[in-house]
Amino acid sequence: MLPRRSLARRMWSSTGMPLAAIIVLLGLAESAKYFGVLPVFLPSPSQVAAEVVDNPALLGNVASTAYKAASGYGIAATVAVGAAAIAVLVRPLYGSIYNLGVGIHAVPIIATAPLLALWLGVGPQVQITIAALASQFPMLVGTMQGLQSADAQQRELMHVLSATRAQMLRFLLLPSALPYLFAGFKIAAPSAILGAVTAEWAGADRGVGAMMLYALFSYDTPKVWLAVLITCLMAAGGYGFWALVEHVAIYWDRDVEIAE
Amino acid sequence: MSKSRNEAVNQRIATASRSVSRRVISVVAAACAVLLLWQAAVVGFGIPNYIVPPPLSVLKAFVTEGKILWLQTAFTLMGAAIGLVVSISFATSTAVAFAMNRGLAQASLPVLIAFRSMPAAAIAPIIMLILGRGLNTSIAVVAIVTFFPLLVNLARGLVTVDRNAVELLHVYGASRWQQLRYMRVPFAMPFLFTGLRVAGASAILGAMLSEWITGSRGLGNLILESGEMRETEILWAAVLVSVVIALTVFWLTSAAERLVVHWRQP
Amino acid sequence: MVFAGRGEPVVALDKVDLHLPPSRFGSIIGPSGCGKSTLLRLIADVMQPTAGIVRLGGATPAAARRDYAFGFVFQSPTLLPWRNVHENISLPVEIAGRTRAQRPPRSAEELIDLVGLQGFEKALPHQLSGGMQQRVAIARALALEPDVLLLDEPFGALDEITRQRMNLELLRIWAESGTTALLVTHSIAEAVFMADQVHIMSARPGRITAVVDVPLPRPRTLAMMRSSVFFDCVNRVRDGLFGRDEACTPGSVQPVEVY
Repeated sequence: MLPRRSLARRMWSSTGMPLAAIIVLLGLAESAKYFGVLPVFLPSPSQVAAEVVDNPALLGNVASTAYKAASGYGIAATVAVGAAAIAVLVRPLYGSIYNLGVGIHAVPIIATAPLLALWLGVGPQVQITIAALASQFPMLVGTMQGLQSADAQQRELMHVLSATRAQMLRFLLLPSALPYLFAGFKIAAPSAILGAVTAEWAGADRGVGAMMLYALFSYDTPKVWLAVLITCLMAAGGYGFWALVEHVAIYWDRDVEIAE
Repeated sequence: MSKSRNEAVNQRIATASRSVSRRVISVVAAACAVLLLWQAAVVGFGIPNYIVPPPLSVLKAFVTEGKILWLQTAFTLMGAAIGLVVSISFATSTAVAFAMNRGLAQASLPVLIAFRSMPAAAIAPIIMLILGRGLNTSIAVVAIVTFFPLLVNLARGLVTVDRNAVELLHVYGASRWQQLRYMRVPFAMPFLFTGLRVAGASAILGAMLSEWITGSRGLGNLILESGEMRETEILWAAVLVSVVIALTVFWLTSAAERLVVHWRQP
Repeated sequence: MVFAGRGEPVVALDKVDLHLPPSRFGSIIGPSGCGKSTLLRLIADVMQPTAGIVRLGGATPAAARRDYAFGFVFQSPTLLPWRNVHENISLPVEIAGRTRAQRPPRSAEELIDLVGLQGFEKALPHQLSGGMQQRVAIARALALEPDVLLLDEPFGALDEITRQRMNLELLRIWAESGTTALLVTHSIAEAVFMADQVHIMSARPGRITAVVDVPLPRPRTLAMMRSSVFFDCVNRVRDGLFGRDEACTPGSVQPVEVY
């Protein structure tokens, strides 16, 4: 039984203290603005908040980016998991599929965005594709590792119990793959968001990235910070969602780190 | 004793370079095959220039626009390299400070975790607000983006030491600096190289993204502009250069990482 | 039994002749690398011999495995971490399905009682100690009422005290279940204490060099470890292990019969 005091202490140090620190910093920034000593590139919290209120297009922009990121993420998830399954089942293809994933992962978004814009024309498809390309790798690697995570003795056990291949998949390979799958999905979510936002820099009329670019060129500091803040929140939100799902679904003791 | 260790090391380098040369040959062979297919496809299917230019005209662009290409590449690489150097020095000193002083490490922990995967896309606009356009922004962005992964990996490496090794050195009365030199640094090397692998790729990407946003000179902007102006040959040439750089950086740092890790776990 | 290694092929097992009467407890002891684990895996159809034949009661290992004639306990408990105790023990029954009616399975509750884990039905493996996990593994091995229980150094990872306790537990479980048991171990005391017959193996190539009968009465108690009979058996086993190796002519594996 944990004594009440140390539980409160733990909550304070993990959540309370950082939160308090943020509040203090915000208060400092606000008062600096009031006294006119705030540097020009730093907006006060009230300015940023005002930006949220005065901005009718904000929700539309956020939704646009979220839609592009989510679509790209969904496509990448389907393709990555499928490709990983094939790679593990059809051994000769393992190296090629893995290298393809690595290659796509290593190519910078810079290179792909203008090319895709030339090929696919104007519209969300460019951003969706880039979001997919940006987020595929962790999911591919996670699934591949997960499907191979059963150790030799567990496989021997299945053999001794005369399990069929389908049973081995169902009873051993899939459950042991789950933690790795979730780890991959978790990491891939922010990449999809950032991919979509960055792709919008290369030419989009709607979205958080477009808003950011527009604000930069009009030196609208609060809007720039707002756009950055929203991006970070969306990325954290995507990660947090999968972290929550993982926490609920994986109830057994499993510490997983995918090798990237 | 040290002689046989040198021999073992030389042996390892020999095998490594053999596999490297094999790798290079296969990559070159694959590249040639791709080029041939590319040319055949463009000519055979009659693909218009603005979608996929034939490799010959791209090669021509390398020759005619060569100077611009290499100049812009140099800008990008310079920004990335300087940013990396700045970042490595800061990260190393901070990591050493963390290793010396547990309290400092603990206090900074939440900040580190929060900023661990600082994306270039979020940093670049802010830095541009502060530093304006130009090379400085690129350097700053690269430095910040690579600082956190380097620091986290280094810090972890410096403290992930075998318990027994710590006690052994303690028994020998080693000072903290001696501990650092004989124990923590060697143990930290694999982690350093993992950090470098992540940092290398982020550096290139960060430099190019900064150019996008600030409009300053460099490979990233060359790509963007030639895309807008529909100058597909130059676009492809620039894209190819960036891809080759990215892949080379990735491959070099991965190889270095593997070499060091195998050193540690024979 | 020949393994293809990196250099020359390694003859792992050679001239093995092992007979175990039904409902008896046999143990196999030998130095590391003598092939005792390999032998057990040959019996369990986890590996196939490169030459020679293995028979369990007249059936091939593969047929015996499909008939669920044996249960296997590994060196590490090898429990599925996402299943609790009850579900882990029910695993063989789930996999075998209803068509295997010839062997009416014992209920998981019975087995949990048998191995002494009442109250832990819903516990997950990571919540259990090493000894408790192995008890679950033993219960799982008994789920389909096998004829033979094969154990590969099941208590090797435990400390001495827990180990002796588990030895007593295993003997109790074995007596109540009535199966034949074959235990591979590298502890001389355990080999003698548990078994009716100790089969001594030597290495390179692996073969059974001697068999020591243990005339101690059942049920065994820890007090018997002080008796001169026990001491005598231990000495004979030790002599068998540390005696001079005899020259061996290479040949194929002899039939291994387990009734």
